[in-house]
Amino acid sequence: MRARARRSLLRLSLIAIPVLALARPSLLLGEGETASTQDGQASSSEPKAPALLLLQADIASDDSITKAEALAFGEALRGDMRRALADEGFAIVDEKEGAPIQPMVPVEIGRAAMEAGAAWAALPRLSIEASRISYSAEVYEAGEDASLAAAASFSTYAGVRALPLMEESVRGAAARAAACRDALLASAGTALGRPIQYRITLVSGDEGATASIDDGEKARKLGTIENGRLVLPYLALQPGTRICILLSQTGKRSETIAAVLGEKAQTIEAPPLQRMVGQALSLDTGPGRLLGLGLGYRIFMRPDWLFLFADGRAYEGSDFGIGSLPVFHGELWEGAGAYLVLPPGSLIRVGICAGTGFIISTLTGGTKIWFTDMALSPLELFAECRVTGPISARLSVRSAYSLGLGSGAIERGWMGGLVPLLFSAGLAWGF
Amino acid sequence: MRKAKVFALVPLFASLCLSACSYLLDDPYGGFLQKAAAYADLGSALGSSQFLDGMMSAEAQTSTYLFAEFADPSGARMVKALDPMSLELAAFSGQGSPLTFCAATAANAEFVVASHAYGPSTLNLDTACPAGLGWLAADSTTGNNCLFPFVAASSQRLSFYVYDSSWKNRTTIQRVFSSSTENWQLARALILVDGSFAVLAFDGRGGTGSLRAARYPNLAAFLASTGPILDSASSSAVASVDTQQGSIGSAMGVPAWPTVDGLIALVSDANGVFRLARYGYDGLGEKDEYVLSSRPDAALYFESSGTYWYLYERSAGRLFRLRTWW
Repeated sequence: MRARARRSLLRLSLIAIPVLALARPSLLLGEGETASTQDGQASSSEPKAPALLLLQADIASDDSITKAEALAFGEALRGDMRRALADEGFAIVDEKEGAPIQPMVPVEIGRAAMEAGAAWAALPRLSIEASRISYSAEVYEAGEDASLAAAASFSTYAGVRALPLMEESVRGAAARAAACRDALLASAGTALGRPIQYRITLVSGDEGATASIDDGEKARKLGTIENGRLVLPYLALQPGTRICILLSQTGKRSETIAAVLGEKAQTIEAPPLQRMVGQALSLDTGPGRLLGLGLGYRIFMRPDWLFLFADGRAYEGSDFGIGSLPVFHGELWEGAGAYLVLPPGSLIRVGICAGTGFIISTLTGGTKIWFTDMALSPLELFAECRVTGPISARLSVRSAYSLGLGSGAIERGWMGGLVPLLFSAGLAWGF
Repeated sequence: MRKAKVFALVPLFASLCLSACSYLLDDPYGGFLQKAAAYADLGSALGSSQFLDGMMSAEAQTSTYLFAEFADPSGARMVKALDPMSLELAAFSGQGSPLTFCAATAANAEFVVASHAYGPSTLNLDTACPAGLGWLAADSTTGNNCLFPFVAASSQRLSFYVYDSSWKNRTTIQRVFSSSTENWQLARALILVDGSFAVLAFDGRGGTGSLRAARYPNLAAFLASTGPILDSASSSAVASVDTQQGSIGSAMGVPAWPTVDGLIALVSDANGVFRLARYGYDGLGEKDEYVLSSRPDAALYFESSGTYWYLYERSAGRLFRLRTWW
């Protein structure tokens, strides 16, 4: 008896839905949408709106309702979503005729939106079982890992009374989707408009490097460079948006690549990632030591920042004056140092060192005497200017205090002649 | 006018270039090593003895020695003789002087070191002589031993003694230093390697003053002269040092040495940079210099030939024979 009554009500609702649809013309509008929104483009006089792919309704029903009745409810739900989303400023793009995407999982939904050139995808979903209708209105972001932007679901008796409830639920979901959209667009700093219609390609020579959206703590992985390139997941961003992609790889310095998106398909070329400096070699010379060369080595305890060093020099000291013969010096300094303030990869970096040194000296020209000195270097300042790749020009100023050993040639005190500092200039190669 | 300005800048530019070159080339680790011709570790050889400022070379017949005065820890002074070329110690041990150290050659070709005379070949003690109280300048031709007392009786006049070659007969001579009123004191009097005679006087009143070296062709010419020592002898040459540029010490230990190539003086500037300046006998002032940077904790001595100079590092006990820079 109750089943018969329900069946009668369903038939009544089947009649009532078209009638109500006539009263609300947009309710059943679908293929008959205006041309301006068919392809997701707004007219020039209207603000650009992000396109939204409205998928076919995903309907599942049992024998408690006929197929036609289920379709009618599905169309009603879809029509509600169309109207509510359009009212919120979305430019509706209809899914092509045919079978709905199967299975209706977010990945497929996001991909479908991406392929349609839409920033969003909306899916009306309903199931009817034992004369009860459960429906949901879901809005997803476009992309490979489409995330649910907004949704509303409800369950009620599958009759005429379900229609206003559906409309109310759908409006709530549309409003939330619009809020999500507005927030995204506000963060991108762009006006409403159609998102880019392509997937960005990142070209890099750093095989295996990981690309992610550089968004601070909310970095989102985009993929890995393979065969010299990475086709990024679809990003529903407006043309003109400045995108920052963080490219990183173990053992190398991460690089942020910034690009402004254009209307046409875009390939972003990433500069080669620089290796973090774990070791460095240097060649140098300086005032009073021009007739010779210095060789330095640094091994980093913390790449790019903290290091132990050893540098040696061999040279002849000569003033070319009357009565002067060159004096041969060999020196070896060792200690620890650190780069300060400026990050790796900066054009100029500065740092400090401290250490000890040993100097041997011997006379030339027949008198063979060896002197051995020891000195402390409480502070050395150095500055490096990146020349190209891993090569930097380095200037250093070292303070050195001779201990005045009895075996030495250097008196106790600050070393360096008229200016009690040891200056060096040279090239450094970090690797 | 404009050309004149440009030309006026030339010396400044040249000076800057020279300074830059000097800075780029100066050995940061003990520049004087480049001048070293010989080296001796006297600290090890002499043990606990200390070295004093006194260092003079003397030549008698075919022997030349560098005599150096030492003091042992008890304060007793002694003199050692070294080969001036190899800097090896000779078999000699003499008594030091209670005042400024002087070693010279007497008229009879004996070495006079402090207050004793020694045989020229054996370095054996011969006889005592009064030379320990002053600078000795002898003339083997005339047989005169002129002794210039370390301590002067007057600041205006120089009294000195002329002995015969046997040190028995003495004549006292008194001469004024200068016709001006400077307060001169005798700093050195010696026969240079070419036979000329040099008198070095120092005016150190008020912490400033000047050095003047008068050079006579020989001792006989000096003795024959009767005018003011420093400025009246037409045959002498005078070098002056503007001591306002820096300290050159007291009269007794004036770090200045007459050589045949000029007067060498250790001077310093306001920045505490010490240098050895050479002043010509032509009266034109400083000719060149050698920068030592900081005050050397060392005893210095310049041979009168101007070929070598000696530097003894007191802290390390090392003696260097160095080539001169001119």
